Amino acid sequence: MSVLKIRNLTKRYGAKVVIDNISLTLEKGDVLGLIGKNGAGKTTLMRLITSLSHPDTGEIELFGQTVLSAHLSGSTPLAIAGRRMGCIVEAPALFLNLTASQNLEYYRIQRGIPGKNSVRKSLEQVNLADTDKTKVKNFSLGMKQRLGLALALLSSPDLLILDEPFNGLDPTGIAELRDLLKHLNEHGVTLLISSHLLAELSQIATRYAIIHQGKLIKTMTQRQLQEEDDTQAVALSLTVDDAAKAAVVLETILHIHNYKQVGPQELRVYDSLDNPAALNLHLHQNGIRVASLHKIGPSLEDYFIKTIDGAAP
Amino acid sequence: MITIIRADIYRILRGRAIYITFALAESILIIYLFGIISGGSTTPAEIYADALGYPLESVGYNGMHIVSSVLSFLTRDTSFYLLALILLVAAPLFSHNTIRNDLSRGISKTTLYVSKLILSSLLCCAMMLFFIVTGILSATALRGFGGTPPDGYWLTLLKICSSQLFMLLALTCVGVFLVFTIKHTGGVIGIFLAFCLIPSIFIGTLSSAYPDLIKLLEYDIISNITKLAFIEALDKPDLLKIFGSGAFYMAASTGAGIALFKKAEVK
Repeated sequence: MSVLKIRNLTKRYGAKVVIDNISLTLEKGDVLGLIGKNGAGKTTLMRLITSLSHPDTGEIELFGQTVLSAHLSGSTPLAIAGRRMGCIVEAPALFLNLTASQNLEYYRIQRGIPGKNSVRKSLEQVNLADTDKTKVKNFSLGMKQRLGLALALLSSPDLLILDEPFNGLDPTGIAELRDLLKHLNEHGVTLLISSHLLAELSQIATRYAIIHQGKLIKTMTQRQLQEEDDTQAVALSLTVDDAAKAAVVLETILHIHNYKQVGPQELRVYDSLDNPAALNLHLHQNGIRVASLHKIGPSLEDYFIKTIDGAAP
Repeated sequence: MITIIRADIYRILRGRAIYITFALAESILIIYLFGIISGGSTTPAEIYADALGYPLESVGYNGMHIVSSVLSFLTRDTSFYLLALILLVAAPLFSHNTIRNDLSRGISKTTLYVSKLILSSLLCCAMMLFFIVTGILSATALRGFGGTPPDGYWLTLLKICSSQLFMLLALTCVGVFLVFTIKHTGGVIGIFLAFCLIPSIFIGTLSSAYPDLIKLLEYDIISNITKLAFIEALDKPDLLKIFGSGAFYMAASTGAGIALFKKAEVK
């Protein structure tokens, strides 16, 4: 079932076309990573989906209902479909002189969500339950970001639209957010996420859409990206019981010098890509236990840069 | 719409600004009342008694009679407090960008505008009621409530209250219009205060050279609120002009405000 369908969407600011005839579909359970340079049109696309901007042409369908088109006025369809959507577009918009729970309580009342438990639950989901008396103006950027997410989660949405959700988070916060998003997705929430942190995005996205100069230039699934990885492998990743000992075997017996030890039990080998079985055999024969061995391809970042470079200027 | 208003009431009551606004207004009102109670000059209560044809000796500065003084207080100063209340209700939409949260939930721009207008109007009514009640209480505490009022006293006060409230609501509509079109708090304060202050000051200054200009004040909300404090002294054409201009401000600012807001792109 399609959660979001965008058809031939175009948005202009004066003579400048910022979204150029984009069509995109988001199926239930997808985690779509929206990738693009600054100014590519990611945020504008999200603003159109969330009704903050009006398209010049094209239409947007949410949960099977057309909510926005160049010819549709009024917001009744969005009022119905919008209840199933949570979003943070650009920075989270919050009341700075209220506490986190007061912010959520405000929106709970406004949205007619029954029961105050939803506020507590949302705060717990983003680890802000212990900020009771602190006003939002005293929050760090990361805390504001998490509160914005709590607000997006308040009405238990089926679709989450997050614009740069990792912004301002420390490494622990990033890991926690990643786990939370994975957890939500496992429980049926569809996600549309834009981020410049492609390594993070690649850990949760199931699909990618690359936008360049307002145009959608490529969509692909995580599987397709992995398949491209296999054909364009750049290294073998090895997990062994003793990386130092394995390194000696690589150098003295296999005469492989083009490798890198990336951890006490992990190695990257940049030669012998065409014969991983032989490598495995030699390591085994020399008393090294190989826990895993697989090809790794270019990162999402490499792929993105290559795609953008190949696109029309 | 009711849930939007309820949520805003929840938010406003949890902030300090509303209490500061009312406390400031109350302190200035009390200073004003104390001044006229202790002073010996002609007071609004005396002017009021004169206009109604009451014997001057029946006007005391007790709880009952102070209302007329309170109502004459509802002029220029009140517009400052009214502006503070309007900003409290509507400004966070733009200053904190919370409008994004509302629109992405499918709340229509018209609903949002009207709900902020209704709440601002409710606060305007609350402010007027607050002034009257606290005025009566303060004067009663100082001089007692007073005896039996002359016939028609309360009815006249009711007429003054309702007509002044009508004009204050017109001013509220203008304030909300400015918030939704200018979107910048500093700009709204500047233009609103100019709207309230400039006509009377500017025209007042120029009227000695150009006497015809004084007629323009017949369409000035603040001047009309002052005039309505002595409603019994006004004739029918005057009242029609005052209420007509008030209704025009209401309709024009609300209509234009909604139309412009609907057309505007949200940043």
